[in-house]
Amino acid sequence: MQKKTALILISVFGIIFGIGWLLGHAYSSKIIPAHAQSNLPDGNILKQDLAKENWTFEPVDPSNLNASGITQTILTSDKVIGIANSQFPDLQGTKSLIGITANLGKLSNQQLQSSAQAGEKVDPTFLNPRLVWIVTYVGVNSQSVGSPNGPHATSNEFDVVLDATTGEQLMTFVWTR
Amino acid sequence: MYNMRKRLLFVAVLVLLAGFVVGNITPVNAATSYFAGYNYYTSSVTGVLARLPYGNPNVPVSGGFSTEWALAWGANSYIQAGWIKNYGNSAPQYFVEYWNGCGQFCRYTYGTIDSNTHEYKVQQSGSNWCGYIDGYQKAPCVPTSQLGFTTASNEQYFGETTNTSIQLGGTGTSHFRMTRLSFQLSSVWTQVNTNNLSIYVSPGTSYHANAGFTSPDTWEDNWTQ
Repeated sequence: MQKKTALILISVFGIIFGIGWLLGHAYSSKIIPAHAQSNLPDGNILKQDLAKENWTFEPVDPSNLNASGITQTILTSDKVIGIANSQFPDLQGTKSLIGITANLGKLSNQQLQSSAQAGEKVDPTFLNPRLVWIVTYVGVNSQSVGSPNGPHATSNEFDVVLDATTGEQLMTFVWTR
Repeated sequence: MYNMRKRLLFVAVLVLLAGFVVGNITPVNAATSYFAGYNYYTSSVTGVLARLPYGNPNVPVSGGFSTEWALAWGANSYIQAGWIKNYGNSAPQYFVEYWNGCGQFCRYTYGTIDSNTHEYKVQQSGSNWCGYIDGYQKAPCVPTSQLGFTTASNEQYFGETTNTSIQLGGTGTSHFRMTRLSFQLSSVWTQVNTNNLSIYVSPGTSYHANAGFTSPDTWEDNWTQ
């Protein structure tokens, strides 16, 4: 009788532990600290940071496209985040994920233009300003590839660049903030 | 009896809290990667190139990846171009990565690779180093002042994986291959002298190299476990 009672107690405590584990896991996956939310980059932050890597990014206000002379229909931020999530399904489940945001703007690269003018063959994707959504996952770690004996690091931001009208994935890049 | 119930309730709450704490602990995904490939040491190099066949290896572990690349090295910095497949990706992508950018290192991936062999190159272009896929310059280039070197002193041609149970780039009968390993010196592209390649295999890797050169301009190397 005592043995049976002990078994029942162990089972019950096991279930209680499991419920606790599930609650803890769900809590840590969903919680987004208030300070972290404010670290999600806006269009101007992206503009500044991308300029350091020789990109030109001109943010566009999606609620006022006419002011930027944009007449075509563009995807919404929710839609492009959904597209990025479907292309990188593991990112949403990353435990260290702090938040996801999307910024609309025109992206181009001056160096490509110079190289093209100098007669080099260049990838035309960003030769001229292209209207894109940049979907940013803050808190996603990526390991550098690098060299066996070289420096290595882990970045903490993952960005997906999508065509603003078609949702085509044009590029991804990583960042360390 | 009442005390017994209280104790049980107390223990149950403790167990629930213990479960909550354990469930809240964030595991660290530190997938160990293993390198296997070759170094070539020639100074004043302004370009590094290799042709890499298609590979779509299984990446089963979160944080894991497989990749092959050509790399220019100097002043404890690098720029490389190749293909990479990360955990969660259904197919490999082109990539260019360099040190000293984007906070620490920059890595850009571009599109999904078709099943053909592709040419991956990093090359000095004016006051920049750039990555090229099949001869097309990818954005962005990185200024030599930012990268930390003007010419490379070490050229590297490598595969790297976190999954040692796969044959990187192929199967048991179609192995890891790179061809046209080349470097640019004084504006002239030259294939590496394969006798002067220096092998590197990560300590602990289960791969070992059985090198063989099938023709003057084609290098094939089998990696077997």
